[in-house]
Amino acid sequence: MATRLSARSVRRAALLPPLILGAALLLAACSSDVTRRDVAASLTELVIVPRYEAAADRAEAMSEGIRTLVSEPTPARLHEARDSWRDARSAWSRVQAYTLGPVMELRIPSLVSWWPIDESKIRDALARPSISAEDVRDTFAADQRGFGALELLLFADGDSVLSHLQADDEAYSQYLMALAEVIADAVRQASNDWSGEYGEAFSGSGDRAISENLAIADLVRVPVFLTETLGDMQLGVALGITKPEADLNVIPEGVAATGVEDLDQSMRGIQDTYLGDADGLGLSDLVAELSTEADQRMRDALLNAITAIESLRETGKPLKDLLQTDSGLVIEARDAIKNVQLVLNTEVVSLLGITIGFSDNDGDS
Amino acid sequence: MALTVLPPTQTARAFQLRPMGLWRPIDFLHRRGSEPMDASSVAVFRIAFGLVTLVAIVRFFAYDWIDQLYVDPLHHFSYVGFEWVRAWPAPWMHLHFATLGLLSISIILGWHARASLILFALGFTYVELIDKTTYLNHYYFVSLVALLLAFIPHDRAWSLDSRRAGTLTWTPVWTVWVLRAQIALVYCFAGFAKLNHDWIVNAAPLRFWLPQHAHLPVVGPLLDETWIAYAFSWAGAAFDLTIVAWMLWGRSRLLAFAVLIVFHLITGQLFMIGIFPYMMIAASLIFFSPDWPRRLLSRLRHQPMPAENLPASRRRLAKPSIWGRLAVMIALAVVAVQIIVPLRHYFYPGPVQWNEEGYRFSWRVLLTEKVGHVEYRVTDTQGRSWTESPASYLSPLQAERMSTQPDLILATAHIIHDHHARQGRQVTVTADAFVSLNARATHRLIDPATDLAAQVQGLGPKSWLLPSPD
Repeated sequence: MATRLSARSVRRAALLPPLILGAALLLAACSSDVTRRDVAASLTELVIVPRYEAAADRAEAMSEGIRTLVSEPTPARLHEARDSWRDARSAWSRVQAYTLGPVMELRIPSLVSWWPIDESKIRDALARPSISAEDVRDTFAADQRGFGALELLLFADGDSVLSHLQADDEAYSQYLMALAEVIADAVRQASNDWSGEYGEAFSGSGDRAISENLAIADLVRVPVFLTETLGDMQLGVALGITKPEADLNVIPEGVAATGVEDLDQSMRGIQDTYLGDADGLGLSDLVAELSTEADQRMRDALLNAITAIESLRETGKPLKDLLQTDSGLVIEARDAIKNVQLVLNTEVVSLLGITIGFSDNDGDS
Repeated sequence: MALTVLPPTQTARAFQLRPMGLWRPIDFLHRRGSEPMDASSVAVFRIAFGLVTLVAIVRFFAYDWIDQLYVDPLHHFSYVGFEWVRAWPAPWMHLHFATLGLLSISIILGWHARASLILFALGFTYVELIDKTTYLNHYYFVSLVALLLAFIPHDRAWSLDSRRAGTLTWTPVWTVWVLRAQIALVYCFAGFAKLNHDWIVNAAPLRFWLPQHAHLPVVGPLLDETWIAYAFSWAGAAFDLTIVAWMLWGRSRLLAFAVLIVFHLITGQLFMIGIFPYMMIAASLIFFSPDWPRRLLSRLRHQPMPAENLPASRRRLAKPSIWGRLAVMIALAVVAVQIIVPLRHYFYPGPVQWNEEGYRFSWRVLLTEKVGHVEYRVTDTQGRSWTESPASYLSPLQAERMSTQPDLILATAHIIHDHHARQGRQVTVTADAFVSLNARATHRLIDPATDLAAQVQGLGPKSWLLPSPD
């Protein structure tokens, strides 16, 4: 005989799903899992903004140092100006791992770090009667400005820069100051955007908050692209691995010989993003929640890459020289960088559910 | 094998020579399948199918997929045996999709519906055959259903064709069962595919996918919980494996349909699977009583249900004709093929998630998180060697999809080889291919010493595939 449920029983049963859902939500709300929003906010506040501020401060110090050099062209001032250039460039290399948002929208890399430079165009520019920062920013080509152009003028031909400045070479001194000013303004602009509206949006606050998934995806995509640039487009080409013929000109290293330092800072920038600040969160916190093994592999890959680059630094040679004399060491460094790219591009991407390339299609398999 | 067509009398004799016992199941199915039933649910199925495919076609235009997927790529990944299928040049490909859209409207209206369905099935399948990287289970389902609908009497109710031809409002019961069988195959194989260690024991890949939605209001924090990934995994497998049974049982049907709607809407919200949820919701209406649309209409109009205008039962009719028996056997053969095809991966060595041999056309829906990274090493006859990225030859979508699929990695090696051959260079092409399956440690997928350009593209097992690390 079939038994019928009473209306009261049915009502009680109907209450069960919402009760279960409520309890589950309460449980979830009480859990201490790290969220993507937490990570994006922490990285913005404790890593990206301070690094951009440091880069802007150093770029401004460089600009100031060059102004001082122009007004007081002595070997001591030249030494200080060159040091300030190295500091500024190193700080800029460190933020390459978060080259996104306003930095790309304002095309700041084309003002700051274009490579290769065109030496003949730079020398042609020196024939102009005067050169202002506006000229450099608005009318000069990307290969006539940035750290590379400034390096050529500041470091070229031994101390010949002093001869130019002591001889009151107006174009030379104006070009030097204009280049440094444009770099300083551009980096400060990026820093201000990160400290202000864009940083807020990236952290998930404000009216134009960026979705946390997009923020995390960007924080993975840029390092993947950076490792690809360093491993394939620079070291790979220079070693003749990614092209049939080796080509050293793709290495963005001039007479100041900062190639190894650039590599080191770039990889440390990626490490900053992955590990986060000592007092904050990083991508590692999200990855480790899903797979501690994958997190360890990523940490190891980063450490190996930084150690391999450290081996290059210990030789004391410029990167372009190392590529010709100690290519084995450079190949080891490249392999380590490629391994960072591989782990990021497969395991981290998998765990965080990020699509690196364009994948706008209805997937179901 | 060539078929010899016998005169009707000889054919009949040939069939009669066999003991009648062998024909009993066939005759039984024929008799039961020939029972008349209300045609309105099949008509609703046709209309719903037309609507969903129309939306699918519109989305191809709206998202610029026609250019991105078919016109812009320099190379396409052909299916074995279908290398002759090529994408139309730019305006014609758009026209092709526009025609498919018009055919969908024609299917909805039931205007020359059979011809429309045949043309739609051919046209849509042609699109799917252009490039393997665009393969999706639900597009395969669309092709199959379009083909099935073309061969069943779907236009006897609520169609312009039926108005023109007369008021035949019944259809044989097999029409409904064929469609139900097609849907059941999808759910059952999707469910069986989920009965694997990763899905059940590790809750992978949902464990990685669900936290991406932790930002959603109300339920977001839940999706970040590991136990919810297990709940979703197990519930998903149970749903796929049993939903057909619940939908077939009258007492549970309504509740099962409500669960089905919720299930598909949730998956539609959480995952980028386009029309799939709506296609399955609409298709599952076929599990309801064949006259449900008329009942519903009567209820909505507050009118009594009109008397059924069905012919007398055919149960007592004489034994089926030869053609009737052939029709049943063809239907059974179609079902058998549809069962064998998803199981063909058992004929290949190694797990299908790793080697992907027999992965397509198997209803393995939303089953794995697989990410790959491929670079090719090209070596010329002078001994010079360099690496090349697949991105140099493929569209971003193609480059992403090929990085995990061995047959596409092989095809790309041939593309690279042919590119150099056209420039007068003889090269060997090897691959550094790495894959992470369900977020495991990255492993090599392909023997890096094998010259892929020298390997034949075909359906046989791939000896150059490295074994799964598990």
